[in-house]
Amino acid sequence: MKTIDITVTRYDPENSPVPYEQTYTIPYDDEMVVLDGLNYIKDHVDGSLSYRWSCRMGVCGSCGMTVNGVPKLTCAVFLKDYPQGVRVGPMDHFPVVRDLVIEMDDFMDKLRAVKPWMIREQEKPVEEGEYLQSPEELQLFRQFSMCINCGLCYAACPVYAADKSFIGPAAIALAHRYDMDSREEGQDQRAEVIGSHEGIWECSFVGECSVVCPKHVDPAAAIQRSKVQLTKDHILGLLWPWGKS
Amino acid sequence: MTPAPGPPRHQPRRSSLWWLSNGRYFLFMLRELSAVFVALYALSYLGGLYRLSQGKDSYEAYLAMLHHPAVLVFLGVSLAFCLLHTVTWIHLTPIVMVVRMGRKVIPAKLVLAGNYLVWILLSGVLWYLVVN
Repeated sequence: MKTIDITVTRYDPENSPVPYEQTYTIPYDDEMVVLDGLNYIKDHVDGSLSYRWSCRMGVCGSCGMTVNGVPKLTCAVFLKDYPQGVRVGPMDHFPVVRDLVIEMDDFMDKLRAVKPWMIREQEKPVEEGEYLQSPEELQLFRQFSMCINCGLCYAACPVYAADKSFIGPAAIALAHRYDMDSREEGQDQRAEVIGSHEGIWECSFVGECSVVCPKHVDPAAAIQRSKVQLTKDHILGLLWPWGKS
Repeated sequence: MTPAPGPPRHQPRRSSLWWLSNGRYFLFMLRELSAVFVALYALSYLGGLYRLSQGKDSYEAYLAMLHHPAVLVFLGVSLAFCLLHTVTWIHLTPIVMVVRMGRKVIPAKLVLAGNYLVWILLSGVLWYLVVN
């Protein structure tokens, strides 16, 4: 059976104040993903290795790590694609708790901050039926609803690296998903968050967030479109201060 | 945000050479830098217009200066950066703009093609004006 070297960043604050690297040589076959390699290490070589994972099928967003310098879901990249060996580290730009486990509290707070739920000025009575939506209206935001909150876009974002107050790609994409929903009436409330200094205007359109997204969401597009929309709203507000009809 | 309780967290520091870690970051930095050369060329062009307002001798001296090797290098680099600036921003346009016709969304490739067409047409008009 073939073997591969997996070099893992270890961080064990009880024994070492700084991270270090450890290389494991393990057998592998063409069906194994990087996460399978980590599971092999934990099950057969070193049970102390710590990392997050859950579904193994690119849905839960738990197993995001840095693979050969690129943010990846480790359940979605194959060991056979790294014949020279693979380096696995924790996701960049997040505090590291242990080994490959990062603290996501800041990311979760930001997701909550954009109010990712349906906001109505006046709820319609149940007897009046559902809020209908056409397929065309759904298409306007559908791709932005595919986000699995894995955080890879934050690990790829140089703006978030430089300024942790930046709300960030996934949260703004989520805000845009709701803003574009035909049933939605909470755009003004979200504009206070994403239109703030820490919001969309921090983004310099590097575009790497959209490149690394495992679900083909385009957060960079969401941010730029939000810039256009908020600018239009601002100008319209100046020209028509009496508000929306 | 107050730090969560528990063992110390390691806060990784980003290398100041992060923009060399992949080609797309590097291209982004070049795209940002291109604005500097676009501005410098615009200033040199405005300088030429000013010299034109000063009379024939002044303008001819300016034209002669444009043939200096250092200026030719600057103009060559500026042209490369102006092209990079234009092409990269044209390619970002379909991401930013969602063009609708009725209930249909125009495909990104058509928006891109439209941008290139406008660029080529405007360049053609300018070329015609300069040559004639």
